[in-house]
Order: sequence, then C-alpha cells, then structure tokens
Amino acid sequence: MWNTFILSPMVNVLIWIYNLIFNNFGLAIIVFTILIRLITYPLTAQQVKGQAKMQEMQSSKKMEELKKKYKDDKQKFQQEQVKLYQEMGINPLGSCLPLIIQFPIMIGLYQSISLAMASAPIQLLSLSRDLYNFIPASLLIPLNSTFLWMNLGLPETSSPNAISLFGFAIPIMTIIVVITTFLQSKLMTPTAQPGDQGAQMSKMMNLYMPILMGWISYTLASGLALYFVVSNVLAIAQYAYMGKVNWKNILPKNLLPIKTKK
Amino acid sequence: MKSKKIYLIILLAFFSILITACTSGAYASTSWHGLTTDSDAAYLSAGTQVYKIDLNNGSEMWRYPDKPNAKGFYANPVLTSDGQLLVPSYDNVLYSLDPTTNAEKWNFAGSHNRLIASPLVSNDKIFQPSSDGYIYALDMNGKLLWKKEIGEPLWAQPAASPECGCIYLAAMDHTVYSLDESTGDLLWQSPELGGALVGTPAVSPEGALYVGTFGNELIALDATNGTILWRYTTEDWVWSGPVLADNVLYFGDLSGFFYALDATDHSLVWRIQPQNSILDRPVLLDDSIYLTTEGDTLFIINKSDGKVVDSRVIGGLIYASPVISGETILIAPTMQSKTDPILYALNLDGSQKWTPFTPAK
Repeated sequence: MWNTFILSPMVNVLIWIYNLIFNNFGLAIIVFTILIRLITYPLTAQQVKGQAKMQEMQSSKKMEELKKKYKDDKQKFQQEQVKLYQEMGINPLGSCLPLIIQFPIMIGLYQSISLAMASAPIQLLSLSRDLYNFIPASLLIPLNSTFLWMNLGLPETSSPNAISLFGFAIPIMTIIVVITTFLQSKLMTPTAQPGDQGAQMSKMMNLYMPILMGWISYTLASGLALYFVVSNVLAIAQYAYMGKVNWKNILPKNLLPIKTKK
Repeated sequence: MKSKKIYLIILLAFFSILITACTSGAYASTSWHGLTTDSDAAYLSAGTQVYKIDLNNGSEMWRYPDKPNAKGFYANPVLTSDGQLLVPSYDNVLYSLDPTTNAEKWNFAGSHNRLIASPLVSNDKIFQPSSDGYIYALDMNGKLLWKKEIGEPLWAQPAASPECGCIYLAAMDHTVYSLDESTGDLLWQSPELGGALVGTPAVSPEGALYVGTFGNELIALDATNGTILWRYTTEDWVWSGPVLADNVLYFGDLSGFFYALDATDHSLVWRIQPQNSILDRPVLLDDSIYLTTEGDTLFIINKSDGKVVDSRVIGGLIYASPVISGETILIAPTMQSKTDPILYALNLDGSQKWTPFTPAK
C-alpha cells in the first residue's frame, strides 16, 4: 500500500525529473521539493488560516468570559469551548490535518531518496521493481549522486569530497538546516498573547526542532538535508507571500518595518 | 458532525499508510549474505557478524567481531593461499582475519564508501573495488600499492587472466576496464555497454570476456582490446556474470529466465524459467547445475538439456549463489527475522545434512 501509493510514484517522479534536468540528483531534489510545496500549498494555506482563526478565538472577549465564568469547572469550560468553535466556524482539526498530511510526504521523500540512490544491492533490486516503464532505467542507473561537496546518498561528513578543517569534516549542510529550521520556527510563530499557555510550548519547539532536524541531517543521507533546507526556505517564502511572517521574533525593534496609521 | 467523520476517516487512512511505511520490507536488509568454504568450514558474512561454521555438524566455531558491526558484512569472504580470510565490510574497511582464530591480522581503511564487492587475489596482490569509485591494489599485508579512480561505484569482483598480467573490472558506469595489475594503468576500456555491470566477468581461454548488463544483455568482449564480439538480448537485467563451462555460458536474469548460450556464436542451447528472479551465479558439478532463485527453492538442473531433475524448498529469500564443498551443498538465505536460519546444508541428493544454522544470541 505504502509502496504503491507513496513510494513508487515519488521515486519515479524524482528520477523522471533527474532525467530531464542534466542528470543531476541535487537539482532533481530541489525541483521535486518545489513541486511538493506547490502541491501542498492549499493545505499550508488552510493550516495558516486555521491557526489565525484559533488565535483570534483565543484572544476574543467571549473566550475571556468563558475562562472567567468556568475557571473552576474544566469540563463545562471544554463543552462551552466546543460550542464557541462551532459558533465561529472553527474546526480544531483544520489546522492540524494539513500538518499530519505532510508527514507521509516527508517519510516518502526520505525513502525515495534512499531508494533512488540505491547504495546497496537490495535497494537497487527494489528500485528496479519500482520504476515505471517510461523511465529509461538501464541508461540512468547508477544515478549521479554528487552535488556540490556532497554524495547525496551518504551522510554529509562521510562524503568523499566533504569540506574539512584540520582533518575534520564540517557538516555545512547540517548547520544550514539548523539555521533555516530555527528561522522558520521563529518567523512562523505568532506573537504570544499575555497568559498564552501555548507560547511556552512554541518556545520549546523553536529550540528542539532545529536540534532534531540537525541531528537527522547529520546522521542520514545528505539528500535529505538538502530537502530540509529547500523546504524550509520555501515555507518561509510561502508564509511571507501570505503575509504571515512574524519579523518581530527575529529582528530588533528598530529594524522592523514601520506601520503607518491609515 | 459530518465533517468530523470525514476528518477521522482521512486521518485513519493516513495513519494506516504510515504504519505500512514503518513495516515496508524495502529496507529489511541492504544486501544478501556472502559465503565461502575450505574443506572443513564455511565462512559466512551475515550482516552484523561473520561466522565460521563446522561443515561436519553445523556448529559455530567463532564469530567476528564479538560485538556486532552495525554497518555489516555482505560480500563473499575470500580465503587466500597464505592463510588469510579477507572480509570486506559496509563500514568501508577490508579486514584480514586469521581463519583459525578469527584474530584480526590487518585492516585497510582507505575506502571512502562501502565495500560491496569481494576482493580478487591474484599474483600475491589483493584488488578491492569500492563503491567510492576506486579500485585499491594492496600487497598481502594490506599495504596500498596503487589505486585507480573509475568514477562510478564498483560492485563486481574483478576477474584476472594469468596470461595478460592484467585485471578486468566491470563497472556500474556501463564499461569494462582492463588494468595493469602491477601499476593500475589503463590498458583498455570497452565502449559504453548500455547498462550498469555488477557481475564478475567470465574469462575464456580463447581470449573473450563475458559480462551481463542492466541493459538486458549478455555481451562478449575481446579480452585483448575490449571491442564487442557479440551481444545477446535477454528478457531482463542480468545481475551476475555468467559461468563458462565447455564453451557454454550459464546465467539468469531478473525475470527468472535461465539461459545456456553457446559462447562462440551466442546461439541459444536452451532456456528455462524455473521460478522468480535470478541474481547470482549457478554452481556446476559434473552433469548438474545447482541454481537458487529469489524464491525459496534450490533447483538441480540437467546441464545438457535444461530439465529440472530435482528441487528442494529451502525457505526465505535466496539471492546468493549456492556453494558446494566436497559433498555438501550450502545455501545462505537472507534473514527475514532474527530467528531465521542463515545457513542450510544439504547432501548432493538434496537431503538435509545438519540442522540449519541459526546464530545463538
């Protein structure tokens, strides 16, 4: 089921793109990530809208009143909160579902990069069976996995051309992943309202996510690190396009764009 | 209420797909096991460890290393005439072990990527191809003599010809190379052959080389200059090199066809399709061919007409070639769970010789 609906289509599109653009797997990952981001854009937009509505509801007068009124009765508060959701036309899953849908895409992408790189016999055998007839597999295999200083099928520091200093390989792409993930988390976190319980959670996520993504990038195939970087940059660009980037979280106040009163 | 149900259904569908992602068999193992024997024991590279197994009773004599190597051992180990067991590893290192004690004699860690191919030992030199696109020539103490960059990964054990003082290297870049075994200098390279090559070339005394390709072909080359002598189209990718005996080439393809081809004029002697993909070479003994396929079965085939005279269900996925030592047939299926046996021993009539070997925890 997974192979048929997620892995095979992804790996075939990836190799089809590879064949189109100069047999360069790095460029194929970049173009593929842009495609994935474009396809999932409606989901991202829905997620952003859902988040905005939730935030609006959390800071609404009605919510404040409910909090005061039922501060000693949590069950009643939850019931009234659900009613408020319905009144305001908010689906609490609405902002969460688009995020969940992106998980299989991410797992599929990682597996398709590993499979396409086919760095071991059983992976190559699997690849030979997953490729559709229109892919000229025998001509393309082995795929050229070199991109910049990386072998995209290997962890960055294991690549033969890894950039090194005093004999130690420097994980440059991993560092870029950490920075872009941190920027993405910061820029997409809404300004915390006073007493907002979610703010503490967001703070923790802003710290842990870059570390987690950095660790994944450092230990797994560097093709995945390239995907993370492109994906992070595109996510920031998409949020900026929707006017949802929160520059306050990273820029000093004197550098922020001045808002003029209309 | 209705929209909640729809969301729940979508969520369930995605979670079920995610669960199948976690249990997907595509990454269960990265390769199949490697096997070699001497007169008393089998040496099995089986993932995290290498085992020495007594051929008489199937008991474990030693394992290496004591703590499992997570990256693993998969290529066929190679025994040398001066008493070494050469074991290539996915941790990029070639290990030389004492076959009696499993003590490490030396190791070569010059490769930048996995060692998928077995080394070739010829004229007191070790030739180790690597996935980093280099072939490394070592002396028998593991000291680097020369290395030659080919570019693309090298998964095939090279072949040698005593007459030419050269080695033949089938590469994944769709080309066969002949290198001077003393210096690594390029003697010739074949034209682009239309598909990757991962099988060891067969060398004929008449001066021809035979290679299988992922371009659905078996190709004969002139061993003196690499020009193409003839091409034979198969049904699917040819993974391993052919076996040459009495001027007939025996090989299989991924569609499960097994061919006997005249080596001179590439006329088809016979062709059968026993069952499932064929990834490794058959073994020839007297008038019989012993063939394993990706299915779970060993086939015994009559060499002259291709008739299957006997078959034995072994179990598991069998990618690797069987090995015959004396009157024992050894088969190493790829493990699907930690409790599966990893080595079966049969007598030549197909009966079980000893209880299949499963490593103790």
